[in-house]
Formats: sequence, structure tokens, C-alpha cells
Amino acid sequence: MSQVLTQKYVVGADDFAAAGAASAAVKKTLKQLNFPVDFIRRASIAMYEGEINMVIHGGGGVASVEIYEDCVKIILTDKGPGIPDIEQAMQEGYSTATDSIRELGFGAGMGLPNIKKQSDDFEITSEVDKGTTLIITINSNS
Amino acid sequence: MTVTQLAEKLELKKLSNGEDKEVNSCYISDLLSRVLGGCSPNDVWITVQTSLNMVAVAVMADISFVILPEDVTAPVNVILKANDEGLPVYSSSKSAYELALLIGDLL
Repeated sequence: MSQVLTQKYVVGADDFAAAGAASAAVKKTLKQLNFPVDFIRRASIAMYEGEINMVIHGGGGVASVEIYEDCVKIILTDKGPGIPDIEQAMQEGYSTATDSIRELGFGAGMGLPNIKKQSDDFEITSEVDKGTTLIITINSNS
Repeated sequence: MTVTQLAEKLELKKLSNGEDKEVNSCYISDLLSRVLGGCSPNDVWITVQTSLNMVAVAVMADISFVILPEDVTAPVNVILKANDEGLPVYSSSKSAYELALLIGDLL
């Protein structure tokens, strides 16, 4: 599993106009590297959901993307309020998004479950008042 | 059937230009994460969401094109973004239900 390249992006807080820019850039890179279409789609959806979570809930953060020959590892770190109950947050339909966020079409409570669904390995760690880290691994041959 | 062929048969109004991809099926929702989790590649997506995030979601999920029903319009910056991303966006005077019935017959 040799590493092809690493990309790092800073994701701004509450910047909905720019939200998704990091995911779009990663999608373009994966396309240029000729990964399978289905793999690129899974990585794009997982990263976009994580990026949006950082924008909405995390107060922004950093996305670090490690691209290997046969997989991609997406590490999303924020210094936001943290998640008190991860099990609850992982349930479909559970969301703490405000009404104004919901008006933008977010807040369906599907973000974290969607990330898990697209991933081959998904780790989430969170500490209240410290922040949240997601490590998403997607294999190109799965 | 391709985007252009389907758009012609549905008498849609073109708002942005993009790739003339194949269209396999149809997905309807205004909740973005619901779309990301539920749609399939090469779907036509019917939605009244007209923010920049609509474009991002469509691109991430490999949606073939977007229809805004009931004469919903999109802001200019959204149309420009859709053009940049090569995402065809169309509008229709028909409701999502009416469009889905027609699409179901055509695909």
C-alpha cells in the first residue's frame, strides 16, 4: 500500500457558499488518478458529508486526505463543541441542526450514517468542548 | 436515454449547460443528505433546493442532471456554478409528481 499523495484543506466555519470545495478538489484528483468511478463517488459523498459537518457543527476544521494506490484515507479534525453521545449521533434522523441550517437542505440526520455506509472503515472520536475527529477509509477494490 | 433527449421529451427549460450523460432513473428529495444516501449514479434529481449546495451534492453523487419543478428558479451564482461544474440544470412548470410519472414512462 504505497502512498501516492497527501492533500490538506482548511475548511471554514459557517461558510456554506464554499462548503464542498475540498471534496470537489479531492474528487478531481481521484479522477485524474483514474480510480474507478464507484470508488470516487463513495469517497466524494463520504468526504462531502464530513466537510459539511465541520462547516455546520465543528466550527470549521482541517481535512487531510491520504491517497494510496488502492485506497483513500480521509481524516477530518475539528475543534468544535464535540459530540456528547456518538451512538445517538450515528442514528439515522438524529440531528442538532438549527432551522436556518435545515432551510438549506441540511439537518436530515443522515450525515454520519451516510459516511459509515460509504466507508470500508470508519472511526469517530469526540470529546465535549475539545472537538471531533473522523477517520474514513475507502478501498478501491471493495 | 441522454439528458438532452429526456429534457426535450419533458419540454424542460435549460438553465445551465453540462455533460450529456445517460439517465438511468429518477430521485426526488429536498433533503441533501437523503439524496447523497439514497440516489443512484446517473439519476435525474428533482428538487426545489436552489443553493450552491444543491450543485455540490449533484456533482458528488454523480447525478446526470437536475430539474427544478413548478417553475422554481435558481439564483445566477448557482447557475454559474452549475455551468462551471458541467451540471445541467433545467426547470419545468410541472410538479415533481407529474415529472416522475412522465420520466417513469420514458426510461
